[in-house]
Amino acid sequence: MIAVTSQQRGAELLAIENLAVSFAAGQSRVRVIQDVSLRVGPGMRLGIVGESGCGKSVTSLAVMGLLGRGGKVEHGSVVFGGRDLLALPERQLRQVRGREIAMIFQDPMSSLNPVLTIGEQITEAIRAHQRARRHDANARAAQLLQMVGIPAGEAALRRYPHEFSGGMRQRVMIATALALSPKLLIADEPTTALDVTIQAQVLELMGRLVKDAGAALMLVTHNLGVVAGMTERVAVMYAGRIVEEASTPDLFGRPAHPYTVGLLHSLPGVQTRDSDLVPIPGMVPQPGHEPAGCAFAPRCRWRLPRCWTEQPQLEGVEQIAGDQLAAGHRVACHNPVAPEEAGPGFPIRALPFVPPPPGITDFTGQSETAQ
Amino acid sequence: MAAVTVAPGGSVRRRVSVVREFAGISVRNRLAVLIAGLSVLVTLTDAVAGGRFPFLPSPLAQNLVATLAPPSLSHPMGTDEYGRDILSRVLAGTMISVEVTLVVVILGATLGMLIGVVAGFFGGTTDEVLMRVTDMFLAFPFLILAAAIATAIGRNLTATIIALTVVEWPWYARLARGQVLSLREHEFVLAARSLGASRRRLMFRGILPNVMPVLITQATLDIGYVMLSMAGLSFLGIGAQPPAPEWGSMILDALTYQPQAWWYALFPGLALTITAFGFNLLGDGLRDWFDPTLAGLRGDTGPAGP
Repeated sequence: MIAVTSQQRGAELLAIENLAVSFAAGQSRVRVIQDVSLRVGPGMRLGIVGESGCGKSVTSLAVMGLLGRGGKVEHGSVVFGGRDLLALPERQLRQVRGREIAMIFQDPMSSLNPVLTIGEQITEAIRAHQRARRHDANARAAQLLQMVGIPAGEAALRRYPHEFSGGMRQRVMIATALALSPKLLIADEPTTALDVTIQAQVLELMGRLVKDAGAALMLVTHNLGVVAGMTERVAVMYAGRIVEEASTPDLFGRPAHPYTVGLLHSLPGVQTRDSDLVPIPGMVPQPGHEPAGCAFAPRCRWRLPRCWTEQPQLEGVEQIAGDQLAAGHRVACHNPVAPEEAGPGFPIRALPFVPPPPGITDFTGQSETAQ
Repeated sequence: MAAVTVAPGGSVRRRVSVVREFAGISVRNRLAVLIAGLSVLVTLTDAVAGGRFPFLPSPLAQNLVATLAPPSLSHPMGTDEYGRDILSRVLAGTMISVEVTLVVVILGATLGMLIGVVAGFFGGTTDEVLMRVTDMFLAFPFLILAAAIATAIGRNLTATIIALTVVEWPWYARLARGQVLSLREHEFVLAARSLGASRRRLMFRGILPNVMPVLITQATLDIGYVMLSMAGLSFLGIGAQPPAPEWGSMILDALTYQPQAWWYALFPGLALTITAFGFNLLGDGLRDWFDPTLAGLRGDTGPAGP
């Protein structure tokens, strides 16, 4: 509750407001994210969850100003520490990158330069921002490696990335990212490319270091399990929009968006039997080919007729359910999942049969059973 | 916690392994190192001795009593039409060939690399302009363009160097640009930018070191080719001028006395072939040496840790 009030006073570290990004596709442009608004307070940990291609990574790259060729911010703002990053010239943005916001990428195999030694890469990050003598930068780099659990720092500095395993390379990436004590760390699928046992180690390490440094964390992942242990708030993205946002216990305790419910039921636990897994039928619509209304409608078992035509807005759950407990819980859905439906993972109310409009594929199987 | 096995005293180990790695090439490519080493040795001796080799007559000394003498003990490779010792002329020719070739390859590779990296890195109009200029050079037959340029500037070694450099750089520019285009898409470039690296830093510290090994290998492989082209220019009478002992012009002079004086053309030709071959082998060896990811295959540094 305290976090929410401080956010309302505008004390947030990062505020993304109505962000829309498009990419060039031939002659036309395709919107890949729309109306994305997110807030991250100082020291807060936010998770962004969604399937591949839902715009999670684009959101984080847009914050860094690293969309690359073809990517363009259509509208919106990204305010970090009082400055709109989207309006900053490249030279000043470079001062922010690495020093104030750092980023860790998915594939530790390819995010290190193969022909530079580990030491050269870490000191490079330091020397890009500070006038440090080589000797001092090396000492700092060795210290950082020690911190991420790579002993014999001095000797490890002279090694090349290919001599390290995936887990160790990701530790090196973490060391590099934290070299200048940034205020915000964006981790884009930091452990997806790693073995499960190493995943846990790396996550634990990253969580601890971020906490020690007092930095905020924006964790982008498709893995709800990772989010559960690491974050305080979660935003769920689908087809370029945020469909649900809540505190982590709230989101897991009473998910309100059918997509979130689907994600939770796709998550196998040690106790789950195969029959408990409820896959989400169908696939994410191609950017630029979303239905006029809610992009999730073709896969949704809770849909209403207006879902095909009307884009649902993110609204506080308490307004819909009249529940004061769910403060700060927002969902973009015309027919949110009732608390008692979240457990079984399917609607238990009687819902009308809603056939898809012509030209849209129905993935729920309702059309066939109705005939 | 992941245990990491890094040998204590890593610096010593690294130094030893560099020596061992280099020894590794010499063992595998003994011939290459032998020939390249000999060429360099001959060049150095020649330079130190001021164009004369100990125990051998000067490459320019004429002996009109013994013209076109076949190989013998006093003239192991025979003599030419002025009675000059072909062995000392072939050895002196090594210096000219090696010097000119190295200068051309280094100049051409450096120029081409800079142009190619800039074109690939900045893209857009810069790329378009630079690459069309490159294409213009590539559209000309290599040797004819070099001959034309050398003739226009003047028939001497400096002109040869300039002409060969002008026709050499476009190949490196193309190669470097291609490398940069593929490297630019690698995640480590994005990672470096996310850490605040400037474009210039990214180009020189991020991308250039990745392009270098490929270009150096190409350059070493090119040494033989440039050497042959240079001999070709001299053979056409454009490069080195008499009485300079240059392999190409020696073969040109020898043509008149074929097939009787077989030794006259054979030995310069043999020297050219063997030297070019040796440098090609050396290029292969260097390529392996420059690629750090092949280090493990040489068995001295294996992947560490879990």
